[in-house]
Amino acid sequence: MSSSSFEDIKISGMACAVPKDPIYTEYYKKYFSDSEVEQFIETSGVRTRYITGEKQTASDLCYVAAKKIMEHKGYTGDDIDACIFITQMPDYAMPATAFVLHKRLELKENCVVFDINLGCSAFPNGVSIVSSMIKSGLINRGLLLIGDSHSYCFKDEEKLSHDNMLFGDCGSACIIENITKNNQEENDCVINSIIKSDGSGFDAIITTGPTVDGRIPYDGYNLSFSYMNGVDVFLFAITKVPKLFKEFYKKFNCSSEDFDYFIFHQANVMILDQLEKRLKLPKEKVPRSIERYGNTDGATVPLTIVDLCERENIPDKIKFAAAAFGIGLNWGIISFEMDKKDILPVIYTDDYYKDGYLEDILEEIKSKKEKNNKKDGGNNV
Amino acid sequence: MTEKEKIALMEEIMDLNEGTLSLDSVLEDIDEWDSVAILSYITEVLDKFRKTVKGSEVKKFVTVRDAVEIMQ
Repeated sequence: MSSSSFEDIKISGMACAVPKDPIYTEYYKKYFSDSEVEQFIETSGVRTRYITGEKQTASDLCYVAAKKIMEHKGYTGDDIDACIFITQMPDYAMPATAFVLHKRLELKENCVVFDINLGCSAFPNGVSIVSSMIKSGLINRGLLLIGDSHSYCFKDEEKLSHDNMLFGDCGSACIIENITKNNQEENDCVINSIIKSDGSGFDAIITTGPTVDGRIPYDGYNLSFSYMNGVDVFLFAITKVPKLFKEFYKKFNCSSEDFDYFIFHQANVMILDQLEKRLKLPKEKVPRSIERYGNTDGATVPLTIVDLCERENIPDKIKFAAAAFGIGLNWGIISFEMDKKDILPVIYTDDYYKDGYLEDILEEIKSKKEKNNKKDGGNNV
Repeated sequence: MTEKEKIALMEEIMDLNEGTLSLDSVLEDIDEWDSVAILSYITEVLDKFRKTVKGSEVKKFVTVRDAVEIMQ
């Protein structure tokens, strides 16, 4: 069984941060033909994206989003029992970047901290995991951080592909908590979820290590090869997600009428069009953010919610059904209710963690290496 | 669906004028047989014939005949 109903658990806060300056897709006419770029805009939907600079990482974006939402809720580090970071772009190979965020956010010692390696389907997985930790009694309130950054794509402009126009960067932060224990005046609050996986598609979207055989070692951002079987991923999304909705409606005895908005992972407009059509959903109930932010991997679901609340006049209490799908292959759906007041507008930031560049430690490693070289008589065999 | 209608569907998928394609038309030679047309082909086959065609299968198609033969 990979489905559950989490009663009295709520997403009580949500914020998203993106890098400061937009990049317009039109800019790529420098590298591709005009018609190629125009066709890309039409089929992907991406007109602008925000990309981190050389120093900023996904964790920096999540830090800013987390800080803001904690301030908004009036929480300090003592109020957070778990810090879970879902990313494919950690700051270091080891340790988990969630520990860096634990430090920067000044969270307490009694805190569960780890990273999860998931991509576009991060949101339903993350909310389910934090909710089950609450349900089990392990924690009372958790911080779910989802973010990715693609600045490495810009390292070699000679090797640009269409994917470089598709992906944007974003860091999201959600607070998930037990509303009975936290004495809030709430009722009928429930999070329902179903998660699915198919490891036979592990190579449908893959980034290998830098060695010849591609398996090891993972060397930070020195990535040798990214591959996506776009046609099969498209087919996977447009067949599996509608089936998942059918199962979800049956299992939780609900229908599309029960939700104000349907939030899909913002893969590209072709997939979004197909999902709307196959699920027979009216356009106005399926907000999109891909035009303004691109495909921001796991953060597209919270970013689309934040973008929706910023741009449209929506009710104070909103019922969402959110589905996401991607690398793994993995796909999931989650339904939840949120208060509009707990969803902050998009934050634009160029903040980065200067101490994360470890100048002292790198200096120490360098001098140790030099000493060893001297011992060996300078023979680098 | 008749063979003629299936060829017409291929023309629609590639946004070509009626009568442009024949069963022997070589897909590789048709500029309009691009990634968008392939995705459109896959969704049409899924909707109209309830069949899932993988990308690796589509890549093996040489002529329009190969694409049409799946439509059953």
